[in-house]
Amino acid sequence: MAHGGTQAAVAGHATGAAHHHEPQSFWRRYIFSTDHKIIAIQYLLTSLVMAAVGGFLAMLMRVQLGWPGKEWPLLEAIMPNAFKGGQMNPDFYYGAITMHGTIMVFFFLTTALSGGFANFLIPLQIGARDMAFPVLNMLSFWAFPVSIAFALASFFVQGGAPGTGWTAYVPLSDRETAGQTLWLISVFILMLAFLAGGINYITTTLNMRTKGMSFSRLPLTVWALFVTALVGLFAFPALMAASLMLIFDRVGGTHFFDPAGGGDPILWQHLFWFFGHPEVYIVILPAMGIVSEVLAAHGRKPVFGYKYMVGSILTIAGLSFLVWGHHMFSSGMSPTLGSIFMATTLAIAIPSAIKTFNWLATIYRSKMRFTAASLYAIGFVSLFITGGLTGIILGNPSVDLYFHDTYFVVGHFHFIMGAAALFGVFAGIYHWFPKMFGRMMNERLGKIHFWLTFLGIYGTFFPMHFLGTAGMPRRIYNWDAYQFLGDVATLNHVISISAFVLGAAQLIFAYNLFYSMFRGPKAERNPWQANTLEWWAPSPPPHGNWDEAEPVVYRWPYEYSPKDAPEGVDHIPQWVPEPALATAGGDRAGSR
Amino acid sequence: MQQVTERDNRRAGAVMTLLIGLVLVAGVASTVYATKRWWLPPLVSAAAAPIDRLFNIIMVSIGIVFVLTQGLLAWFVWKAARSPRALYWHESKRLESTWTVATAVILTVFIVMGYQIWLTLHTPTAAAAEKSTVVEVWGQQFFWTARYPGPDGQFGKTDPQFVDFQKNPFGIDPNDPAGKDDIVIDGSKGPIVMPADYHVTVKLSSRDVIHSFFVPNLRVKMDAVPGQVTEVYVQPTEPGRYEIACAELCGVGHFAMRGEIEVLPETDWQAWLQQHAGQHGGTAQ
Ligand code: HEM
Ligand SMILES: [Cu+2]
Ligand SMILES: [Cu+2]
Repeated sequence: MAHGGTQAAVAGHATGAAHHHEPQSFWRRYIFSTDHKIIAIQYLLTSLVMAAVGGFLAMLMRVQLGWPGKEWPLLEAIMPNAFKGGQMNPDFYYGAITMHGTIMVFFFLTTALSGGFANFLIPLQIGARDMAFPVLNMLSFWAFPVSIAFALASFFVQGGAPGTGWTAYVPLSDRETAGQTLWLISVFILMLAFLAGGINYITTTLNMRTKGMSFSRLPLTVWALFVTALVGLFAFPALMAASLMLIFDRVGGTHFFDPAGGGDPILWQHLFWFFGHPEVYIVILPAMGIVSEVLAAHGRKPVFGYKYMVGSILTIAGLSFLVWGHHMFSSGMSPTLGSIFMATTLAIAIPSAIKTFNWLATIYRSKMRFTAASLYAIGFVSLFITGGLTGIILGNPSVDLYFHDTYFVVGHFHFIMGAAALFGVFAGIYHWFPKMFGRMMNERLGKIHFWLTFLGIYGTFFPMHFLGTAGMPRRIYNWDAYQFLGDVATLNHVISISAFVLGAAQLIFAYNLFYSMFRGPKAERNPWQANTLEWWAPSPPPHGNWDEAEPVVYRWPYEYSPKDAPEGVDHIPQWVPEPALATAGGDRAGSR
Repeated sequence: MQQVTERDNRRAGAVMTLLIGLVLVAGVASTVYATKRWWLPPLVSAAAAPIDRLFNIIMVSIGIVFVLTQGLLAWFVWKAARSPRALYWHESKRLESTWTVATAVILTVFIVMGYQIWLTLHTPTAAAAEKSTVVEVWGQQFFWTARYPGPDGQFGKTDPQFVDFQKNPFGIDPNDPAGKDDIVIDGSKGPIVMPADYHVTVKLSSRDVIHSFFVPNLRVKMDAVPGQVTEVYVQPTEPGRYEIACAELCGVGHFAMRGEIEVLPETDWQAWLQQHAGQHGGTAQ
């Protein structure tokens, strides 16, 4: 692609920003860095490693659930304690579900999206040179490995990892062995890290937008990440308070949750889900933002319904604080509350449906380039539809009395939150990898990875709805005991085999990621010919992001295939001024 | 941009269309097949019939939406692989307000239907009230225990000081005459008995951690919470044996916290009450 063109026009807006000296030592540059891009990559890579750990635990769970009672001498040789006598022992199974859920929700999705992508994209897409508080940003990252260390340490203490699930319901979690305390400390530290990160994202978005970057010109990614940080600001403290209270109950002799001492175990559930439901949106909103961005850029078409998209992000964020009770329909709470939570829960389906229709309309008559990134974005829409629809069943308290805590729920939330957010992460990585590392990922491997993952997800999680309809409770180590289930062995075999295919497909991704990081072909500044500001910076952007002046913004980010643009111009980036447009012929308007 | 030919791109679009199409067809086909093999277990509670009806209505509705939206997605993807130029079209007030309102209307219908059924589940019908009884069920790691008021229809007072896990797990006060004929059944040794065609109130609680009383055939699930009493109503219709599963993670034995309910015809139920009156532990046999 040709370079030159509009650069001169933009240079006139130099703001005389201070020179940004790049730190020289390796430690300051890559380890204790305050550069938002390095921190983003640290967050992203750490969370991907954790995804591998969480995925490995999922595979072990599927080994057990696919063939309960079978002996696995090979696994016993590798993990003698977990597979004493050849069979997985139930203690280990319950530790595994807790750690799998915790890792996937907290250490993978929340951190990859609100740690990795938020850090990378917010300053770059709003035209800032870094975050508002770079040192706080660094501290936020370094709290993350500390939190991981506490959680993983629980595997090695007396009694092992806590067997209470990622929801840690009291009184069970009050009686659990020492690993539970480590888990609570881990969660507390992580929430602190997220709050530090969130304060940065909010302040940066509010105060550091470049000239011309009004709120109505913000890319949907920034909107989503910004609102997510706001949601976190109100949600995380609930879990921090709850985990602190439970730590006190466990080691300090208080009785906040212990009925024997006058406490209330249901209080934990209220606090947990007041955090927990917004948490679901904390992982899905950024993924939604990424998907909107990727569909527009690779479809060469503006995002449909920008205003409704922003409006539904805000509505979802607001409503997410009013629906927590749908996790507690069977907790014995007042039926009146049940009807209120039913109404709010079904109401939240409206903004979700708006987003789905808008994505469909964005794809409609686009000129899609089927890259790995756009395939993942399209796949996201399919998963979001499937997972969203089953939510309507669960939102109905009468019906949920049957489906609650069955595999139907496991299928539902893996679609809408697990797999959909996972697809958002993949779409984001394939799309922004060139900017992050200055190299391209291999598209062919990316596509193979996508085909296998897409089919693997459906093969694994769709049949789980049938298990749930047949009545199979979740969090069970073995389903052999129940006759009413009928013949669920076949289903469980199918699910386990699909899960193994799905897991194996991720090795392709790992190879592609690490190989491309060092050996991939060099990336141009704007390989996808996209409109947002990060593509104006070099790939990868230097310390301080913009080598001369900060960019100036002239329009919204979705000027793809504009009607009366000069011949051959299929996009007009945000940083291109009007006069430059008139003179710039062909592709040049899109580059610099 | 890595060089991708127009042909490659069209092929990738076709594969994607095919995959979404596959999801659509396989999703519908497997669900239809599942209704024969992995579906709701037979319903044996009159109170819960509306639940199944609502489930079916929602299932069919979301099935239709599933087919329409995944179908549109597949079709748009197919077209997007072939269009020479993208359309510059990013807003339509009319279209957007239409689908917003349409979704809102459909969901409102679900909310209203859901509300009505939720209401009936919590307001026992008058007819049923003529033949009614109460069972207390306690969860504990990892089994269920039940207490019946006995032939007099009155529960005796309980007090923790009388608890003896073998002989008097509920701690029934031996000085209270109402408690003399109470019946206590250890659910780990045999089934919990209920009369057919009665309106049965199950009062739940727990001795240790939270459990959940899940009887798939009766379509009920209610948590048993220590320090609290929660309630569900059932109206068993068919005599027979039905399984109880614990549906709240309650420790390593959670998966094996299985119990059984035996629904007896009315005459057998009366006989059973007489026969077991005063038995404060043990089995239903
Ligand atoms: C390889 C793909 C995956 C497989 C095969 C898998 C499988 C499973 C299984 C078998 C369970 C236990 C269900 C139960 O007994 O309750 C589970 C629980 C869970 N999974 Fe996954 N999972 C996968 C990916 C993910 C992802 C990407 C997420 C991210 C949100 C996730 C989040 C969770 C959560 C939150 C739980 C609940 C844990 C708990 O009960 O405390 N999973 N998963
Ligand atoms: Cu929720
Ligand atoms: Cu239990």
